[in-house]
Amino acid sequence: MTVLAVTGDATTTTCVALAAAWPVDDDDVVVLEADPSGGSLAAWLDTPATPTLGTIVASAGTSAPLADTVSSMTHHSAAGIRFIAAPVRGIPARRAIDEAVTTVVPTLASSPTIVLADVGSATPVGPIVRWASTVVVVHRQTGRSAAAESVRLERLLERIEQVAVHDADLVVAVIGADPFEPNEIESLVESNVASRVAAHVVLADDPLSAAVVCGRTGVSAKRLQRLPLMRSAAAATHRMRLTLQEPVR
Amino acid sequence: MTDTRSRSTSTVAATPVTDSVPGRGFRPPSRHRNRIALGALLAAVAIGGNAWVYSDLDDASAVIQVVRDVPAGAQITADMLRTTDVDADSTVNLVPGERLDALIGRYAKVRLVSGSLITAETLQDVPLVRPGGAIVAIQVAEGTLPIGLRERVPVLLVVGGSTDEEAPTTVTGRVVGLPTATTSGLGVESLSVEVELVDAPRIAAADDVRVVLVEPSEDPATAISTTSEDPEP
Repeated sequence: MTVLAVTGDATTTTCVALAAAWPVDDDDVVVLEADPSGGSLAAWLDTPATPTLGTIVASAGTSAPLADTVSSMTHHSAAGIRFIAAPVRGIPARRAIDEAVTTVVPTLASSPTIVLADVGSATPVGPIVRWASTVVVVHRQTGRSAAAESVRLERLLERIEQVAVHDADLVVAVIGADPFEPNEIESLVESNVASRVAAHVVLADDPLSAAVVCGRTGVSAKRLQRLPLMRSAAAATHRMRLTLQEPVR
Repeated sequence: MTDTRSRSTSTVAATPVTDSVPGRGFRPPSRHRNRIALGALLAAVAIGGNAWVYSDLDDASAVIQVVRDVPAGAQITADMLRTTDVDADSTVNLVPGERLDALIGRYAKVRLVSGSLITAETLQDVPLVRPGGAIVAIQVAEGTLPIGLRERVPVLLVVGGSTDEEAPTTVTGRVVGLPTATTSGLGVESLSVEVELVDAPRIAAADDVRVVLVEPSEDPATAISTTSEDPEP
């Protein structure tokens, strides 16, 4: 089972960054948009809005093997990212995700494909987490104030506890270093969460890279690779791949 | 919780990941390189076109200019002329600058005013005083010269006739030098006239000479010059 569910803040950007920075070219990496609030990647990566996860779910009852259907309806963006798009609007997206949990996701989980599932920031965390071998909880510091960030950290702890009930390795990814250093947050998590955290990773708060992932032009691929987000994502994926190879559960 | 924390957790900082980790890569949307190339090409064409048009407009060529006043008949010396660049239509009668040396030693047919451009017809190869001729300076009262008097125009010089006993006589001549600004306190002007050599003493000795402007005629000096000039203007 090679589903990495990404939940929390900035999940879509994080998923694309992780997919782009995945350290082994031979790995088959696909981003699965499963955000109940709706899909964005088709617009970000300039591909047609359809087919979507809903299209795949609707095709699940046909005679064609579902794996082939999934493969044929996976978007291949010019940016090099392969992804399964969610419907843009929230209601059809939620319906598609609910259906996909019992059809598409098990098919993906049983394949050798590494699935980076963007499950969004909704709480409780979506049902796809049940199929995940690793859950990445992303916390992005807003940098507004220590008091405001303390409140958000409480919610981070709550989210970690929610996902910790599933049989998956837990990775906490912190974006940004202001107002708290990542190691402070790591200490906080370790001292307040009973569940085991397999790894703590840090992602750079890099608005330019995030904008490029969203479709901004004017930054070359070579320059993007040198920007902080992609460099930190490379380090993070390296660590996550080790977790996949040596689960700590 | 203590038990949990006793298990080792790892962070990225503890993982030696080098900068050389390339990842799968993300190819951002292109910068429309074709459009950039097309724009650069159009800019280059526009710049080249403008350069061509303006270089074509700047069609100046060297011609010969007079740098100081040269009276008619004077022999041209190097300090009288220079070359200058002008953008003139090809139909304008000018002497190319490369012919400057060829003009040295020739003679001015007419007065050449400082700053004017030389034309081939204003110079000749021989002196203005032809064989058998002479230049006589006569003094005339200010205001007695006829209107329209110019260098190389024919004139009739009337000598005598101021008394009843003396009949006036006439001598034909050709003006070679006009009076400059009057400097005499007596109110007279000096006029240089080319006459036949035999008439020169009588004109020079006369006290009262009047000048009559007559019908223009062919200038013998110019005729000689025309036949002796090289065909190139």
